[in-house]
Amino acid sequence: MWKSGLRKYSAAASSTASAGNSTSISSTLLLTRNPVITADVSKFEAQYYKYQNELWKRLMWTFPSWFYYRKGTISEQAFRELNPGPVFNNPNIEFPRGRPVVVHQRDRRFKQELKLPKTYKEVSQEKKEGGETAAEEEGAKEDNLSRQIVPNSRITKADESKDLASLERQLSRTLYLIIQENSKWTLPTFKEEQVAQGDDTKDSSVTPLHTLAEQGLYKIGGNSINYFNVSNTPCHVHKSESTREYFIKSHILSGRFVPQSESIKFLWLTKEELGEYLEKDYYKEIEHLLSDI
Amino acid sequence: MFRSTSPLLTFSRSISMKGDVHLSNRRVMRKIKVGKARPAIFHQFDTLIELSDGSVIKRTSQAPKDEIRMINDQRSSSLWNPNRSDLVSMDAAAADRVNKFKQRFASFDKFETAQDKRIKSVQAEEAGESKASESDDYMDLMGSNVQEVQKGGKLFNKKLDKQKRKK
Amino acid sequence: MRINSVNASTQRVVNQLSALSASKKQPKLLNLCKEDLIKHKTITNAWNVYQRKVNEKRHIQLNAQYKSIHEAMEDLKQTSPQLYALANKPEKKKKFPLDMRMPTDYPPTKPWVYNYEPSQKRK
Repeated sequence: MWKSGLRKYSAAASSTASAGNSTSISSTLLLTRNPVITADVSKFEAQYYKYQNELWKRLMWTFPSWFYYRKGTISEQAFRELNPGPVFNNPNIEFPRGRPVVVHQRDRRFKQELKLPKTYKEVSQEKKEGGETAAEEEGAKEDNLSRQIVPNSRITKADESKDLASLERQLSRTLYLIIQENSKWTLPTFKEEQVAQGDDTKDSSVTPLHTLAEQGLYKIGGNSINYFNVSNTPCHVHKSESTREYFIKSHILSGRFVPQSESIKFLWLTKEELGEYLEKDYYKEIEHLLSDI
Repeated sequence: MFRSTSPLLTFSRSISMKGDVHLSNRRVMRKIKVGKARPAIFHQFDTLIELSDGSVIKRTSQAPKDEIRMINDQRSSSLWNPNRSDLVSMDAAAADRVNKFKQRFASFDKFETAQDKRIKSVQAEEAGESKASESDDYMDLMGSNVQEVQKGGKLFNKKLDKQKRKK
Repeated sequence: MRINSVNASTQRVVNQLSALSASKKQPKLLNLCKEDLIKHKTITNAWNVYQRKVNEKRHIQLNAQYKSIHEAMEDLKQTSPQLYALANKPEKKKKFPLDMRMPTDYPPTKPWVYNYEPSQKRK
C-alpha cells in the first residue's frame, strides 16, 4: 500500500490525470511546537510506576560501598556517618517482627535506603573555615558548579497568566498555530496562484506545496522562525467542490511568530483547545492529525 | 582515630606485575538449580542531571551520585546550536582548583613576570649586545649569525640506512 | 592479615568481583502471601488492560493518518500531476534539524529560544 501511495510520478500519470483544472489548490500549514518537557502521567500511571519502583528497590542488591569508597578515605567516612548500619541480630533482644538478617550493613528483608554526601554542603563548610565574608559567598553561589540542583517549575509564567499566544505555555503538550484574519480562527492556509493557467506550464512555474506553505508562513509570520518541514508530501486533504486544501506538517524549532500585519491574530493551542476555536466539522475531520500529547 | 587502628589496615601497596592475579581455589562457582536463577539487579540511586541550560532529567545510576551537573553539552555547544548567537559557553577551565588559584593570585603572577623581564634585560645589557628595551625578541639577543637548532633527534630513514650498509 | 596475604592487583580483582557478584548482596526472596499475590496480579492485569487501550487508540490514529496521506496523494494526482510529482520527489539532502531537542523532565531556565537569526544560506 505504501508503494502505491508513494509511487514515483511517471509520464503516464500526466496524460491520464487532468480532471481538475479549475480547482483552486491551497496548502494548509500544520505548524507544531513539540513538547519541551516530558508528558504528564495520569494518576493510574503514577501509582503503577510507584509500585514498580518500590518493588525494584526491594529487589536491588546491597550497594557495594567498599567498591566506590576506599577504606580510610574522607569520602568513605562521610558516607559512613550518613548511613549508620541497621540494628544487628542481638540475641538478647526480642524482635516482634522477625529477626533482622544483616549482611554488609543491610537488612536483607527490606530495601536499602542510602543518603549520599552532598557536594554543596561540603563547599559551604570549607568556606566557613576559610573565613570568607557572607557577601562573597552569595556571589559565588550563582556560578558555583557544586550548588544544589533545584529543578525549574513545570508550570511557566505563561501558564499562570493564561497567555494563549505564548510559545512557553503548556510545555508538556504539542501546540498548534492558528491564526485569525477575518473574524474566523483557521489553520494558516495559503493559495496557489499559478495552477489555473493549465497543464502546459513547466514544473518550475508551479510552487510545490511545502514551499508554498513556507513562503506563506514567512509572509504572515516574519522571517525569524526556525522551522523544519517534515515532508514534501501532504498528510491530509480538505475537499470541497472547487477547492483543495493540502496539509503540510512542520515543526517550529526556535524563534517566534511575529504577525506582519495588524489584522492577523495568532494563538498557540493544544489539541483540546483547537476544538473550541475551530469549526466543529472541520475539527472532527482533522482530529486524527493532532497529537494527544 | 586512624592512629589507633592496627597497621594492617593501612594501605600496603606491594609492587606487583600487571595481571599478576592469584585468586584462591576456594572460589568455586556455585551451581544454580533450575528455577532458582535470579536476575542481577544492582543498587541504583535516583539521580538528577542538570543540563547546561537549566533543564533537569531524572535518571537512575549505579554510581553513588545523586546530582550531576553538565557544564558543556548539547544545549550549550555551538555545534548543536547553529542558529544561536546568545550562547554563553561556560568555561570548563574556570571551575577547577588550579584556575581558581590562578585567578586569585593573578596579580602576583604579573609581578613575577615583570621581575623576570627586568633580569633578562639587565643580562642583555651586560652582554653588550644591545641596549634595546624589553620588547626585543630573543633572536636579536643572540646576535647576527644565528641558526635555529633542530629540536629532537634525527629521524630514522630507511633508504639512507640501506645505502650506508651497502657502502 | 588478609590484606597482607594477597598482592595489590589480586585485591583489586577480588574487590571488583565482589561488586559484580550476587553473593552476600542479594536480598531475601520476595514471598508474597496469597492476598498480596492476588493484589499484584490485579495490578498487573489492570496495567495490561490500560496499555492495550492506549495501544489500540494509537493504532487507530496511525491508521487514520496513513489513510488520509494516501487519500491526499491520490487526490493530488487527479487535481495536479505536477504538484504530485513535486510532492513525491525524494528528499535526499534533507537532514534532521540539529536544533530539535528531546523533552526533559523539568524545563530549562529559558523555556524557549527566541533569538533566531536566519542564516545566509536560506533564500
